[in-house]
Parts: sequence; structure tokens; C-alpha cells
Amino acid sequence: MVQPRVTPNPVAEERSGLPGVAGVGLKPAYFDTVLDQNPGLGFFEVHAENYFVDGGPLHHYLGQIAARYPLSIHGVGLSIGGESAPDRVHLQRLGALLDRYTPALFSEHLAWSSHGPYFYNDLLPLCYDNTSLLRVCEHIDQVQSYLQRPLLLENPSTYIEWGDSNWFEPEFVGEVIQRTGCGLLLDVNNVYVSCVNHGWDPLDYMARLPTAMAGEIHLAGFAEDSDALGDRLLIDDHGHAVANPVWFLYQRIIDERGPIATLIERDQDLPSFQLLVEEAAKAQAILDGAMGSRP
Amino acid sequence: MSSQADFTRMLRNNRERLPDHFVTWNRSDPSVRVDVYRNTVLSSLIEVLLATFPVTAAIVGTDFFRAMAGEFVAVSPPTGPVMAEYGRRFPHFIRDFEPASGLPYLGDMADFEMARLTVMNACDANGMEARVFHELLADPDRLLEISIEFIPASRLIRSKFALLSLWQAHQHDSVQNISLAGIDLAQGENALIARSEWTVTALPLSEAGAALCHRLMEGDTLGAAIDKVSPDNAALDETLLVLIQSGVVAGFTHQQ
Repeated sequence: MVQPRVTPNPVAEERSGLPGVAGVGLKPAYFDTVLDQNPGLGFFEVHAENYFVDGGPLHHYLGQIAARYPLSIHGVGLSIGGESAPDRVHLQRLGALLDRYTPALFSEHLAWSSHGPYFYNDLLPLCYDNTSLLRVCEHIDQVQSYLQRPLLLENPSTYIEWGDSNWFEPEFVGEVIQRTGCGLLLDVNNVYVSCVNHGWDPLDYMARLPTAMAGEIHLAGFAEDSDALGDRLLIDDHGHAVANPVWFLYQRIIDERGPIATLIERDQDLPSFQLLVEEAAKAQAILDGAMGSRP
Repeated sequence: MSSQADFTRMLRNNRERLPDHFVTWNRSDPSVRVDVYRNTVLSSLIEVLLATFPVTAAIVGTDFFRAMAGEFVAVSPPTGPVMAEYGRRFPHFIRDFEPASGLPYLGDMADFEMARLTVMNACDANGMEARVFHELLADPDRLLEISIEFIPASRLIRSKFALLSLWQAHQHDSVQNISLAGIDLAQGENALIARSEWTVTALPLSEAGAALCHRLMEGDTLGAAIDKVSPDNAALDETLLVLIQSGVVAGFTHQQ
């Protein structure tokens, strides 16, 4: 088993509990390979709601892998941006999962998925106004006080803007982080996708995000589409390799902020496990390089 | 009406007029962009159903299945974020889905696949060791007075169709290898679904065996179940053997 080099970034480590290592998303299709091969990865990440089950093979295999590797638990359905408070039963199940696995990282999205009696199984966009700001902060306070641990909040990828928004997205994220004391899950692919979709400058966007508060980075791929005028519309489908502009932005942020735990995220069209390990190795080389160049 | 309520109404109904909430940087028509959300919600839920009901989908073909699943999503959207629980009402929907009425066993197959997923994710519990059964079998009077407590990872599926044979015929990576020759669809089949070493198993049961197992799962003592079902000796032996082998018995209660 090849251990990745451990590269210190005290700020990110304190926020995340993980050193500057690269990991990959764990899917049941990879369980056997991971247990057989002990790949040299820094951590694995799973979606919380996939493990809201009582028992069986999912917990059995995750338990075995969590005994060997640090774990990150990534919520995809808490609906922090929703109009209703986070669901108590959801919080209870989440709390039980975090107690069971004590993951190094826990994160959720700046988005909403639930409204009324229904769950929409997607990360829907928020209106960035003051009403929304107060509500999101209240929901994050509720989550953090129930779980008794800070969460990392992921910047979203979006396809549309609410006309009533009067905050610029990265500054809204920054304000939420400052008010609630949560950390940032910097999804570099989301930065690129949202900037292309809304005509923003990704470097300006990242400069306005509180990247000093990042405890984890996500890297993923997108699909190309076009809008009604034929302009590029990028779909955050997690079904492709990480694109070059995203690697470029990633290099920039690591050069600026030092090593931060980095996930290769893949949820659609799962490739061979080896391909994901190679993408993680590419991220690890950038993390290691940043260490070498720092004073 | 809140703006998120407007948004969800729009997600659920593609004929809904787009409210004036949205802007785009290049003044392009926002409805194309809203379609991305609508498509993601619908297709992600169809993918969930495809993953839960792979044989049901193989029987009708993926295109038909997607269309049927899309109709289900429209009338029965998820009410919670746990996708392993979504689809519980799908078998019922299939039975009432007119375009699938030519395949009367399709709803049973969906029941079978949902039961497999439920058993897979059920709470861990150890079944009793075979030794305990052997002690009981040596005391037939006492045996008749026990009722059986089943572990959570157990489900009984009873069908008027050759469900298990049909399911097994579809356990191939390649469609070319699926052979339905020799399956008599009208031959009813039953199965006790359980787990073995983290894999879901399905043990066949005869008609009388399944009836007996059903009574036991309803809480009857073995004696009462036998009185109701009147199984012959072979069916009784078969049922006890399947219960022992499948490891689904958590414990016994002795009823005086």
C-alpha cells in the first residue's frame, strides 16, 4: 500500500481534520476493489442519505473501509436552503451516522431539495436576499447545534438566477460562513460551472469566496449544453473526468492557500476504479507540489 | 404563494407558465435553464427506480420502463431523501398501469425486487443456530406450541407466476444469454428472501410451504399454522428446512 505524502496546512487541517490528501467518492461497485487492493488514497467520501439504512452490506463494507481510511460524509438532502427548518428525523439519522463513523469531514450544500411534503432529489437554487440569508444561517445553526460539530458548506452550481437576489453568490456564501462559524467545501467544478452559466469571472468569484475557510475541495466533471441563445450551459453531472479549466483553478487555489483535502467526485457513468485513482494522484501531485514551494 | 412553491410547481408540471422570478445574464429564455432542473429531478428518480427494479426493467425494455417510471414519478414523487425507500409504491402502480396490463406478473416482479432491496438494507440480526432447531425437533409436542420470531432481513413473496425462474433467467450480464425457454409462466412460485454473508438470497417454497411460512410470519404457532394449512409431511419438512437454512429465525416464543 502506497501512502500518500502528508503535506501540512494547519488552517485547512484544523477546519477539516484531514491533512492535504486526495480521496475519491466511494460507491458500492468499488467496495471489493478497495478492500482487495488497499489503494494509496487519503480518504473516501460517501453520501450520507445512501447510508440511512438499518443494516446490511452497505454498512458492513463501509465499516471495513472506514477502519482503514479516513472518511468524509457528504449530505445531499438536508435542504439547508429550504423554507422549512431541517427535518428532525433527517437530523436524527444524520446524527446516528456521524456517531457511528466519526468521519473526519462532514459537509452539506447551499441549496434546497424539500418543499412541502415532497423531496426533489436535486440541489435547487436559492434567492440570495436577506430573508434567505437569515434563514440559511438559522438552519445551519440548528444543524450544527444538533450535531455538535461544524459543517463544511459547499458552494453550489446553478443554471438560473433569482431576479430578487441582491447578494453576489460567493459573498453570500462568505456572509453565511462568517455568521455561522461553519467552514467551506470549495467545489472548484461548481465555481467554473456557475461562472460559465452566469457570465461571471471564475478568478473574481474565487477571490470573493472565503477560501481561507476551506476544509475540503471537490473536483468533478461537467457536461456541455447550450442555452436558448446558444451560449454554453454547463451541467454539473459528475459524469466526466475533471476538465482542464477546473484543474487550472484548482492549481491556483492550492498555490494560494496551501494543501487542502481534495475529493475526486464521480456519481454518473462510473469509470474503472483505477481511473479515479489516477485522477486523485494528479490532485495529490498538485498538493505535494504546493508543499514543496511553500516557505 | 412562496417563490420556492412556485419553483416546485414548475418542476412538477412542464406546462406551468414560468413565473417572473428568474433572470439570465445574457437575457436568454430562462425556461431552457429551468428545464435542466426539471430533467435532473425526473431522470435522477427514474435512475433510482432502474437500479431498484432491474429485472422489471429488463422484462419491458428500458425505454418502456423509463416511460412507466416517469409516469410514476409524476403521481408519486418521493416524500423523503432516502432513495432506498423510494419505489415502495411502484409495484402497486405497475398493477394499475394500463399499458403494462399484458404482463400480469410484472407487479409481482416489482414486489420481489423491492423485497430484495428491503431485505438487503434491513437491520442486522443473527438467526438461531441449527442446533437449537434439532433440540426442538426432538420434542414434537413442544414444537407445535412455539411461535417464531423472524429477523428483520426476511420477506416472503408468493406469486401465481413463475417469478423466481423468471428472475433467475435474467441474472446475466448480457441480454443474449437470457433464456426463457422451459419456464412455464403459469406455474406459481414462492420464495423466502433472506441474507447470507451480505448477499440477498431467495429460497423456493412450495405452495403449502409458503402458506405455512406466511401463517408463521403472522405469528401463529406451528400447531395453529398446520391446522390452517394442512400441509403434507413433505411440505412441513421443506418449510422447516428452509427456515433453518435461511437463518431467518431470531427466536421462539413458547405458547402454552
